[in-house]
Amino acid sequence: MNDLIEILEDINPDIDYNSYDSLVDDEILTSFELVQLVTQINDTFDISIPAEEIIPENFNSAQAIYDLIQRLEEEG
Amino acid sequence: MNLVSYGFLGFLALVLALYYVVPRRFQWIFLLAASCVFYLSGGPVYLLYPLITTVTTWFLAGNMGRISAASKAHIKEQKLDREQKKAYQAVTKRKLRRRLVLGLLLNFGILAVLKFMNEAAAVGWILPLGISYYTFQSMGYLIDVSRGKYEPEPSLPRFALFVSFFPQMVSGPISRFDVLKKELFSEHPLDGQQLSFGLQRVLWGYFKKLVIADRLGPAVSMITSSPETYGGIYAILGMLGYTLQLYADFSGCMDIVLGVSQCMGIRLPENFNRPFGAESLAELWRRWHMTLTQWLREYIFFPVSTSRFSKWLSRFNKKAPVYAANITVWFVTGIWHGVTWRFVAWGLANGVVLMISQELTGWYRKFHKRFAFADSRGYGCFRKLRTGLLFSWLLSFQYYSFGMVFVMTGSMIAGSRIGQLFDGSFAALGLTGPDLAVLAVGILLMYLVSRLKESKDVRQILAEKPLAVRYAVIFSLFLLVLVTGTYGHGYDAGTFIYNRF
Repeated sequence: MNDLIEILEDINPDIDYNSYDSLVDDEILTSFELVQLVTQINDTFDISIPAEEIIPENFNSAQAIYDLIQRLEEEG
Repeated sequence: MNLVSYGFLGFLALVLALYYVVPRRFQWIFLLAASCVFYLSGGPVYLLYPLITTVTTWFLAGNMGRISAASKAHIKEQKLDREQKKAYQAVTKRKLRRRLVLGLLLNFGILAVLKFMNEAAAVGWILPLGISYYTFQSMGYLIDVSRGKYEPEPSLPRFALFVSFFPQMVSGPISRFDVLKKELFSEHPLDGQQLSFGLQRVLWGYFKKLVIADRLGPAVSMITSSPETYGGIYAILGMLGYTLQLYADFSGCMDIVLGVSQCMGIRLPENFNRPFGAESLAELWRRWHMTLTQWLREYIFFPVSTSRFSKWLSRFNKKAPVYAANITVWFVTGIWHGVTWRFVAWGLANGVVLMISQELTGWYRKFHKRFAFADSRGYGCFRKLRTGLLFSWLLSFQYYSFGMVFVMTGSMIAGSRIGQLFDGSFAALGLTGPDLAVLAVGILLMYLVSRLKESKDVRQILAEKPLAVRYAVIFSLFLLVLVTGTYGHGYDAGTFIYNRF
């Protein structure tokens, strides 16, 4: 989780990622930031987030993103 | 059949009357028949291409659905271990991908060939109304089914209605099947308020189209098509007029489409959300032609940015995937609007400005932290104005050649004099004093309604007023459209700009 928060803070340091739960809905993460985030997550966690998983529900909070990472890691 | 014609109004009245008379379980079948009549009114050949898209998409999606179901059943029955399951899923995925590619190539191929023949080669093949809209909508469905987002529609007639629903087929909005099917296939009893709200919205759409867009049209067209004659302050007027015309035309068309659907109890997705209230170009594009930008984001931007090619690119620069995807999306956006270099240049110019803005995000944040006034209301207004002007300026790539955009920008900055308006050339534009007065009132009204909409639906505000006030307002709007609407004047009042896509 700490690695993920670090990546998120690189993109926008002004947000409290532990409590914010509408990152996409409030346009904190727009398309550009989402792709930047996905690229960095793929590199850091050695996974591959497919395009169809880039939906608001998976990226609205740090916890949701972390759950997605864990799910994709399990699926291998 | 054009949405701005007596024929359409008669057709609509008949459809609405019968829609609420037929048994409710047959309402969707009636809508399918009405949609066929609407499309056939242009001639039988107009039905051919939508029919090909409907049948091929439905067939391939059904086939993909059966493959997916068989794959799931096989995995469950055979109790495969993790590795076997992965291998089997990979085979299934390949089968699905082959069918998806076939569907995409066939339908986008038809779209590309027809558009190229009509616009670039000027051969004059029949270009079915709204081909870009229904092709994008159908292909969105095919991609969703291939991703397993929802089950394919087993009934061909029901799928045909999704493709051909007559109010939206010509100019969108581009809907998603899982959302629209709930609206299209449920029963809709007559609801007085929905009918009234729908008709009010249709009237408002006609107001924007006939009173504002069509009045501006001829003058704007004169200015933008003759840069050698209309430079300086006229180029500024042309730039602003073109933007206003485009907005009034397209959002007016959407008001008619969404209003007609609402009369039938069917909610379609919104395409505009007060775009000129945006404080950045990226935000404006999230509020303008929203269903197209959502489609492009979901089916092009994200897939391209997560593709193998983008992953390879990211080895050189972390931001390369996002920029590759951005350029692809804006190239497609340009081509979608017109198969000419001007539209490609317009699309790419938007992409480049958005990339520069993205690169400057860090600076913007520092600026806002450093200077308190940057968060003031006044600065917010400045940002809105700046964004609107930037959007307008970028639109000039659509009507000027690439080099001319910069020549005219120079002319706007250095050659604008108020005196140009009084040397007699303004009169040649054909806008009389009453025309200007109607435009001023119309644009002010459009602005006020847009501001009101920020907090509450204007029709809801009106519904809470006494009956006499309500009818007085609606009747006044009706009279305004009737008396001040532009009918004819050697300008085709019936053509919506966004119909041609």
